[in-house]
This record gives sequence, structure tokens and C-alpha cells, in this order.
Amino acid sequence: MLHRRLLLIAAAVLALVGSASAAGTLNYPIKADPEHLDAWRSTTTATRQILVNVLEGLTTFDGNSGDIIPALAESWDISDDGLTYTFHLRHGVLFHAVPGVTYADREMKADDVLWSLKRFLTEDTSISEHPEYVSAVSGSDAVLAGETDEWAGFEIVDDYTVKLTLGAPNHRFLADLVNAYVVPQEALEALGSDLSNKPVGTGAFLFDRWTRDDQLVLKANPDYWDGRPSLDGVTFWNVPDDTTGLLMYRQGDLDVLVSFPDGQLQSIKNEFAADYHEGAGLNVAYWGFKMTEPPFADNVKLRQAFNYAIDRDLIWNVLMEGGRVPGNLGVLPPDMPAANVQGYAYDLEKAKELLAEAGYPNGQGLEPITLFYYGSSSDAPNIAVQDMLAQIGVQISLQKEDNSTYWSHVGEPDVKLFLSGWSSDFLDPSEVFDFLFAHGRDDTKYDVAAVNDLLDAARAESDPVAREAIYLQAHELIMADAPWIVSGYSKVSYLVKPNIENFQVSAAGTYRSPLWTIEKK
Amino acid sequence: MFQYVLRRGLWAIPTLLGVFTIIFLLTYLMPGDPVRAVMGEQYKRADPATIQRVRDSLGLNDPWLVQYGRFLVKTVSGDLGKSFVLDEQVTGIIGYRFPRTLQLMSAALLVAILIGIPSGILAARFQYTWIDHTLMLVALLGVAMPVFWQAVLAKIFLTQDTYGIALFPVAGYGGGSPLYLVLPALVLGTQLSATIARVMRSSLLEERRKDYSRTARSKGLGEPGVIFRHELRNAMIPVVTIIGLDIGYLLGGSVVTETVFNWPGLGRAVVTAISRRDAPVIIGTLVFGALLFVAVNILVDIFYAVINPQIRYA
Repeated sequence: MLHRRLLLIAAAVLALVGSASAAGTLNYPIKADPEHLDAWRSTTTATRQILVNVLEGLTTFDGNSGDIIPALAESWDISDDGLTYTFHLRHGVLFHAVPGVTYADREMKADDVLWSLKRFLTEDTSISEHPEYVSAVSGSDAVLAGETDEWAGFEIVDDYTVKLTLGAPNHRFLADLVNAYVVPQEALEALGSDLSNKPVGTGAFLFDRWTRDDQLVLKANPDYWDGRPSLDGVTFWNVPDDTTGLLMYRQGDLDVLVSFPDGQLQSIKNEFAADYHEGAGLNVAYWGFKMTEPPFADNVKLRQAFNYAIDRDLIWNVLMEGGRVPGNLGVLPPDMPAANVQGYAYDLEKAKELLAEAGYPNGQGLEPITLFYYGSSSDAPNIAVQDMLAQIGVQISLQKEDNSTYWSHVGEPDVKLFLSGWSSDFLDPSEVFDFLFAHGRDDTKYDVAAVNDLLDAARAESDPVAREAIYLQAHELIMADAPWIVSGYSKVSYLVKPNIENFQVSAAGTYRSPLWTIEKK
Repeated sequence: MFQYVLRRGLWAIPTLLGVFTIIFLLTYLMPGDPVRAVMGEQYKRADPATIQRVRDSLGLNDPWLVQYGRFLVKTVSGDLGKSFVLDEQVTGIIGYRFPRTLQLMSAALLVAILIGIPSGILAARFQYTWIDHTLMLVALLGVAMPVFWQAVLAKIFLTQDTYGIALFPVAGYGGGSPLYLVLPALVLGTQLSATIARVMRSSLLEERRKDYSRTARSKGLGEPGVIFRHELRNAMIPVVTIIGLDIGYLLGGSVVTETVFNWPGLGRAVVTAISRRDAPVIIGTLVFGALLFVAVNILVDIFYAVINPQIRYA
């Protein structure tokens, strides 16, 4: 009798739990709540992950190849001098029908595009954090400085044509427009500051509701220009703890798992062999040398000696269970143009020779060096580096700092050897070079005139073949200088339930996955 | 009685001021700024000029005394400011998350009291018997097991069909469904129940040795009567103190519990704020927590006076 009652209770409980996930809704984990959902201030992956499904720009990235493809612009023409971009807008694109917003004209037209783009161009960080998306347009500097209201380079040709004129050729411009979302002005007028937490745009999903630190719900947009998505909606579950995420996935509360608990990769692969997928990613992990401070400043042989002493295959294939591809090539992710350069293969003898030539035979005379790394990174690779450098007589002490402290500290002169990494958004070398090797912007403070010139030249070069040749030249110079010990190239690995079809993962990371192509059987 | 309450209330002011100063200085001294903290290794993507402008607009480039004065004046006038990172007022953050933390804390406290007090009474009544030994051994284990470990055990055996029975959801708030509350409350409450049980036992044992107990027993009153009519009332005072102090523990313990159970509470908001260097949220929520702690302690003191009139005149 008692048993039967218990069973009944259990059944009722199970029914309650089961009914929580409606069919046709994708249950997707996010590690952190977005800070906000503001179209003009989205910078972190936490905000972009949501926004890529709700908002659109003129261009976008192809989910698989990472190439620039049309989004709200159906096509575009670029003048021969590379300065004038004429965008032909898609006809019949409707802005989201959401409560509280009434439209004079619901169709997305040229004036909406220009209004949205111009809003990026301000120094007021409470409005826009990304003036650089459109600052290539001529006259932007004067607008930014507040000298004029003349938007020289922005022009409406007709309702469906927009012309943007640049100050100088810039091959990144189309990529920068990917995140320059088009938002209806009526939404800002109606919602005011609420718009930064309730995005309105043209994307395949509508924003529905957001209970902070709990769940964020998107619904299918019935009027989407490319057809209503097959899913009824997406529920983003806030799961800060990876172990909890794994338990939820196993129990069927999540349809996808994109982040795994540390040290469990192999057992996850074994348990979910059919659900496990991996592909090449766009993140590069590295240990950087401070190029402006002794002992690494002006001592290329010392930096090269360190590079030859590290066995990257052992670190990534053995210690870390295949978590990354060993960094045996250059500073670019292997799928990028100009990525194929000679790396530093593990060679202990050569390392010892170079160390002697650098003025420190068997490490004599070299002060112990502190290797800094950050809290959320794994200990093992850093301990391995300490051990491997000890083989050539170099003493390393390790210092781990919590993430927030770390990223403010790592640029300081006292940090001479440090762990860092970089994620590119798309497959273009400028994504790495412009941020890390131009004009001392990286924490290595790497600033070499010859490289700066090449990078400037590449940015202005509109022919892709010629550009790749310039980038290759720059890449070889950088590798010879050895400002980094390249550690490894990321893999994008994830679990997805067998009833989920068409889940594509962008190389830029799961956060850029287009969820509207998914079908749930 | 009124004077007593007033005196205790006035003493709270310097306490809170001290707490505020310490919280502000600790937050101020923390290295790192919100822009870099939020962006991590990608901070190089933000234009250095933008980072500088954000710092300016947040007032982070002002001298510490100016920042301290600004925070103090605003806090005293009840304005906790706006988060550096989220588009939310700090009062809104507390207003949304505190009820959820309170829900979890009350449920945990209920679990702790329901388990702790009866086991303490039983252990004292049957001192040095197997009942006493078993209960105290379990209590020892309860104190020794960290919350996160209890949480993992509970989840593996009570939420997974693969390893146990899926009686409860793994994690989440579930829109307030009580089903989602059971496991986090149980995990947060059991550890506390162990402390309560031990204090209840020793306090009751002490009362049982006193003259009035012997008198009651010698008059022929049965054991339950002696315990519930005479001893328990006096023995409860240290237990109430412990429960009052444990509100602080619950606030702290809820940080871990909220994180592993995805519970949208205040503790998790503080931890996230610290990792984002979000000073207004850190200061606002911690000052709120301190206020709460002080208020609870005043209530506990008043409660003593109610259960034991001797204290009023002491």
C-alpha cells in the first residue's frame, strides 16, 4: 500500500517536471546572464549570444564558413576605389510586433538603417560602446568630436538603398557592420531606456521575457523575412556551474551542452559518444613575453629558447585529453588565411643552445621568472611549462590571480611572462593582428615598425590574394620575433541531443550559433 | 522595554557606519576595473579611449575620498545607485533577488529547526544511549560535510534517472514551484540542523541538572512534562542565539547553494558583482546584508526578553 502511494507521488512529481519543457522549444544553457540587451552597447559574448538571434545588421557571417553574407542588405556594390559602399536593402522586412511599440511604418527602410548606424557614433558610452563599427565612414571623426552635425558619408538614395562613403579603403568594414544592428526608432521612443533590456529588431526570434539569473525566453517571429523558424522558441537557462549543466543535460532539461566540467572531457565523450561533436575554433591560447622589460626585451634568442623547450603535444593531447589542438604553427588559428607558417617544434637541444647564445648557459645568470595565469584557466598546462623550462635550467615560479584582478594587472611591467588568449570573430587575420600585434595593443607591448606598416598596408588592400601575401609576410616577421609561446588552438566541442537537427556551430564559438535553423523532432 | 529596544537600535548606527567604511575600502582596494573584468581576455577589443570614457562616466577616476563621500551620502539617503555593468538600479536588484533568497533561507531554517530541535531533545533525554550516539554522529557528519558536496550527492541520487531516482529537478527556480525549493533548502538546512541539535542537547542537559528540574521530577511529573513544561523554555535561549547568528551563516551559505542550484538569489548576485568589480552592487547588497544581520540580532535580543523575563532587568 505504502509502496503504491510512493509510486503515485513519484509519478505525479515526474509529470510536473516533464511538463516544464514544451515541445518545439530549444533549451539552451548560458553560463552568465547578459549584462543588458542593448543593441549599441553589446560587447560581451553573454549579450551577443542572445542578440544574434533577435537583431540583424546589413551583413552577417555564414554559420559554417564564417564568410560575410547578406542579411538586411540583399546585396551591395563597392566602388573601384574601395570607398563607396551602396547597399540594396531587402524588401518587405518587418520589425518585430511587440506590445507597447506602434509603428508608423513597420517595414525596415533606409531611414531606419541610417538612424541605427548613426546612433553608434558617439563618445557617450551610455549610448554606444562601438563608434568604431561605423567610424570608417568619412566625416565620422568630426561628428565624434562634436564639431559638426553633418553626416558627410551617410546617404539615403531611396527607401531601399543606402550609400556609405569611407574616408579610406578598409576591408574590415563589411565585417564591422555585422554587429551594427538595425533597430526601429519607434521602439526607442516607445520603450525609452527599457529598450536596453527588451530588444526590438528584425531577427528570427522575438524577445519574450527575462527573469534575471534564471531564464531568458525568445519566441519565434511569425513575420520573419526568411520564414518563421521551425522552433516555437528558445529558452536560455542560466547555468553558472558546469557540473550542474552536465546533470541537467543528462536528465534532458537541456538540449545542448556547450561547456564541460574541468577534467571530465574523456568521460563525457564516452558517456555521450553519439551526442558529442567537435570542430575547429577561432581562439588561440598563448604565453606572452613582456617585450619592453628585461630579460625578454631585446633578447630574441631567449624567447626562442623558451619556445623550443615547450612540448605542446604533450600538454594538449596527453595532459588535457585533447582539449585543444597543439600550437605548433603560428599565432593565427589554423583555418585563417596566412596561417601556414613555421612554428616552434619541441627541440630540447636547440633550446639549450639558444639559451646559451642568449647569454644564459644552462640558465645561469637568469633570475627566476614568475609565470602569471588566471583563475578560470587550468593549472596543468602552466605547471607543465614550469617543468619543461626546468629541463633547460630556467626557474619558473607560478602565480595565479583571480580573473578580474588578472586582466587589469597583466599589462603592467612587472608581469613578464603570462598566460593569455584571444578569440577572433571571423576568419580574417586582421582579427588577430590588429588587436595583438599592431602598435603595442597586446599585453606583450609588441610594437615593431615593419610589422605596423605591413598591417596598415594590408588593411587598405582590397584584393584578397595580395592581402594574404602581405599578412603572410607580417606573420613570418612576428614568428621570428617570438613575442609569444603559442600554446594551442581551440576546438568548439559540444553535446547535442539526437532529436535536435541542423544545429550549426560557428567557428567563432557556440555563442554565434544561429538557432533559427534548428528543428526539434 | 521600549528604552531597551531604543538603546539597541542606536548602537546599530556606528556598527553600520563601520561596516559601510570597511566594505567601501575593500571594494575600492580591489584591483581591476569593471570594463576589463566583464570582457576578460577580449578587453583588448575595447578601444582604450572607450575604456577611459567608461571609467570617467562611472566616476572611477575620482580620488577615493570623493568616491567614499558620494557613496556614503547616497546610501544614507537610501539611493544605492545604478549598477556599473547591468542596466538595473541596485534597489531593483535587491528587490528582485532578496525575496528569493529569503524564500530559500526560510525553508532552510525550517528544515534546520524541524530536524535539529527534536534530535537535540531526544539526544539529551536519552543521554549516552545508542540514540544519543547515533544522532550526534550524524550531526558531526552534517557539520563536516561542505554544502557543495552535499549538493552534488543530493543531485546525483535524487535528480538523475541514471544513478538514482529523478524525484526533483536538477536546478533552477521553476517560477517559484515548491518542487524546485526542496533540494536547495534541504542542503542548506541540514548543515545548520547539526549545529542546532548539538547546542540543543548540551543546553538541555545543563538545565536537566538544575535544582528546579529535580524538584519537578521529585513531585512525580513524567519526563515529557519536565522537559516541555520546565526545562525546554530555559534551554531554548542559547538555541535562539544560534539561530539568530545562523541567519548570517545562511546568507553566506546561500551563495554556494544558489550557485550550484541556479537559484536567482542575492548571494549569487553579490558573487557575480564582485567578479565584475561592480562597486554599487557590491556595496549596496553588502550594506543591505549588514542591515539585515543587525536587525535580526536586535530581534533576537528582544526575543530573549520575551522568553526569559530575567534578561529585561539585567
